Amino acid sequence: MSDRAPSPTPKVALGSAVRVCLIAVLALTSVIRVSADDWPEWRGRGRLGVWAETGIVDRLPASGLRVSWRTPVHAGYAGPAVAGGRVFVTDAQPTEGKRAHQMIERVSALDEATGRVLWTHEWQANYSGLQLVYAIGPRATPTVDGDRVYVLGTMGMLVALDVSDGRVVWEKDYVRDFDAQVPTWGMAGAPLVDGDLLICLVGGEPDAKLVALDKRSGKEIWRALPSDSEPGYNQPIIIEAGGARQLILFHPKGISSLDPATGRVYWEIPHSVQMGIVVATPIRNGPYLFVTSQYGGARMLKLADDKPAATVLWSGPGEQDPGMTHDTPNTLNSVISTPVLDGEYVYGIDNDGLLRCLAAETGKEMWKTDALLKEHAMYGTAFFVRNGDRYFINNDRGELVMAKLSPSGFQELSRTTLIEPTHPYVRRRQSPTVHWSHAAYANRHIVVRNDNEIVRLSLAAEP
Amino acid sequence: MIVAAVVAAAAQAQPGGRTMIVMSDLHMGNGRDASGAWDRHEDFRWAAEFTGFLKAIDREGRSAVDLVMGGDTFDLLYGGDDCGGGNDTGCSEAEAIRRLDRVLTAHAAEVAAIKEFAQAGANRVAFVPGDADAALLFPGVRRRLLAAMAAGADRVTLGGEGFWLSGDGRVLVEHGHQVGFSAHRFDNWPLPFSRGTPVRLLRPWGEQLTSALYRRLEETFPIVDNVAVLGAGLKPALAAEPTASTATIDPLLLKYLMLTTLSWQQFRMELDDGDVEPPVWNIEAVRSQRGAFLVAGVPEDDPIRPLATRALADGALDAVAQGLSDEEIVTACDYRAAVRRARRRFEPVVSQFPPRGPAVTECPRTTETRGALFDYFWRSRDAMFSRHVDEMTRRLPRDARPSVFVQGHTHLADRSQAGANMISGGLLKIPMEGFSPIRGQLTPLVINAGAWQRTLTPVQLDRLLTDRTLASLQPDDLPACYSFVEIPPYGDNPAPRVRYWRQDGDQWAAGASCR
Repeated sequence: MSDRAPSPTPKVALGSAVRVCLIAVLALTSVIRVSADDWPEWRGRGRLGVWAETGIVDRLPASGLRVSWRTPVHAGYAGPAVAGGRVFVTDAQPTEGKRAHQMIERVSALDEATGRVLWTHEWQANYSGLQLVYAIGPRATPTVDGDRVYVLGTMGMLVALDVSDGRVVWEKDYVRDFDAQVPTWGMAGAPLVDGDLLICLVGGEPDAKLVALDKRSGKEIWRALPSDSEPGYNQPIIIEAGGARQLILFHPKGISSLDPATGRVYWEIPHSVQMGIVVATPIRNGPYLFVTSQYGGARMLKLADDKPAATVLWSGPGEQDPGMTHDTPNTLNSVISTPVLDGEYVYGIDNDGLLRCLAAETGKEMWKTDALLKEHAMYGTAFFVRNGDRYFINNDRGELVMAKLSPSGFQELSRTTLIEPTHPYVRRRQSPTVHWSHAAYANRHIVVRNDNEIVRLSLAAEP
Repeated sequence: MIVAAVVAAAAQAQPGGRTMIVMSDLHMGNGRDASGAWDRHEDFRWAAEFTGFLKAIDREGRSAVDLVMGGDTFDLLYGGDDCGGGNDTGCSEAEAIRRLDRVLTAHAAEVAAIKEFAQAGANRVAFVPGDADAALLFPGVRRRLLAAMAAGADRVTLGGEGFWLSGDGRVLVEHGHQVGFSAHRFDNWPLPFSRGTPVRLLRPWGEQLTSALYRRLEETFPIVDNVAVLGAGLKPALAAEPTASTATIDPLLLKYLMLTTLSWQQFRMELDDGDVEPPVWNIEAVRSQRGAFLVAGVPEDDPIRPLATRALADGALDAVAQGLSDEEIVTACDYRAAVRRARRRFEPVVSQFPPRGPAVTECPRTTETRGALFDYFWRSRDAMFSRHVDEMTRRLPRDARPSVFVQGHTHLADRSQAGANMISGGLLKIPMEGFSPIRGQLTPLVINAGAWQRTLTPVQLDRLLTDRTLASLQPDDLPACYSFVEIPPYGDNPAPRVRYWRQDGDQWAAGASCR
């Protein structure tokens, strides 16, 4: 069971003479784009981490994938979005001659076929107060919706741009407009489009942890949840359960479900997480809704089927719990990596870089292995995307792994080098740098960036 | 034996070649009563641990150790009704001698241990006066102490200037009660005496304010003064009193808790090294809040919040609020911002308060500094310690240039920042031990030795109170873990670090943290 993805609503103004013909063509291309090909937001359409395209390679060549193009970029963690023949990527660089925390942030639109830069839009950002080692660039993946792309900078600058030319349609500054305080590791919640709304993780005051804006004008429609904690670093998602569409947010004080149309809270599960480090996106399958964090541990929620409600099915301890340390037994404490809920099992990277499998119903560990990252590494990270019965996993070693996950074990099908890890990191044993950027999968290609370049590589099966 | 003697002699010649140990705030008091039971006000019941500790540092320091007792070694403030004086003055010299004699008798084992230590090898012992044993500055009291130690010339000394300076002028130890807004600060330190006859010890306003309160509360809650940071134990004790549901808080006590018991030590330092601009608080807007400003800085889950709220309703807080200086307001606001940040982030701080719970609001900012880019809150701490370090340095001989300032007084030892900096990628220009009041620099270094007695933080206290009552807790129930500062032999630069003497199974050893 999967959740319904929001449908794009492209706006096209056409002359009557060619309208029927062009509408047919556009409809066709629209159907093609919508059905599988694009990757318009964090974890792809619907934030599901699912890539439905077919005609994809069955084996990754050890010698590397065929490069479609490479384009230089500056630093950043944000994965790219791909939609409508364009690739959107954000980056940042220090302002020349200024102090290190004075930055220029930028979003670029690239031609998907060639990598040519079509337009850029820049703004200044002051990274003061961020944890220095990670203060390199934007975190949030751009969100593309029809003719708009919504881009969030590290310090809370939100811009709505015309995808065709980068023209600013409207902009908001979370700090200035909502009295937000930027958390230690920067604003990371990519804005979520739902119908006419753009739902944003703001962390503003008063009671503006979440804010819904009119996606066309930027006008505030509703705000919800007190900012008695930092906003966290999570990504809101929308699910359908209990006869209602529910906006789910995993934040440092718990898991909240809201009516996405109004911001009214359906239910909340209290769950405080130390340092506000809630990163891994909640995942849902059937009645299960799973969240995990390094300090807070794991929570498997069971969604009610007759109303919007949830209960804690089981809990796993986190590092903040009494007697717990990094090494004490736990269920699955993911730091950054969003796990997978496949059938009756959870698969994910733990806080030591091991891939684990749990029974969704009980939390019982089925197995764990270091075969994916090949090392025990604190904050080990990998990004899972399902494609048919297998997974594409870009890991923090800069590799792409194709594998099958089952309760009987991790079956690696093939592996290849994807991109050079360049993100700064301090605790890794084998590599001084990591790759913490989610790849985009679109049109039988993978698009991935580091702090130097963005690369498009072919995953198309040979004819 | 000969080798040891040579090593010791060489070490004595070179101050940097000696081990320095600073232990503070033992608070040895009247010991046991006539029945043999501990006096309820006695905090130092750990003669065996103390003796073992001195033997260990003597052994590890190869009998070439400077042991500095960093103040409040003795509690000469509380002795019953044996001192004359009034509200603002305490014991005369003769009365203080009688009190010291009583304490030394009550702690004969500890005195013997110090004497034995001082007589070994090239060891030396220096006493630094604190606020609770400021009476040591009376010449007669000083002589009595040194006579009691009887370890030979120069083996045991007392810092009549109010501090101890290492032979090379690189390390300065003082108690810490003279820093910043301390309510236990003496105006004329190190001559804290009244005029007239007989000369009496003066009583700082914090002492006047809290002395009787501590005595009363300690009768019911023996660990009220064992909660670090100094003063923090008053809060749960006041809230646990039978009258708490209707009582109000003394406005001056609220100010005392707000300003003089601030502990900047509780906050982690990893997030910036000063390359962030501090917010500018809107002092005018703060003043317009009158007494409500004092209450706004008290988190809603703070035990004294109801008392403060009632005091506000009675209109009792306005006068104290109006009397605050701009600097006091900025300090309180900086501190509130730090509390707010820690609570909103659930930071696992060293813990003057639980990192969870409702966040306090910030003080109003001026419009030009609104926003999130100004997350810097060390300003007040840096200002007060920089000023103090400058003052102390000016008092020293010209060739003395201390780079390390060791203190106690707050009862909370500084936590190492080594782990924090590892998280930050080693990019921060901050000391790993203690802190520097000059941002971006590693010296001068200020480090707090904590208390060499049994203490606990409010978070630890909360844990204990899940199945105990505050009144049932005795000092013996607290963690057997005693903090001190160690400065190993050094070449150019002394490198202090906080260590803990703690029990590990049946063994006692020094470690980097309490178990």
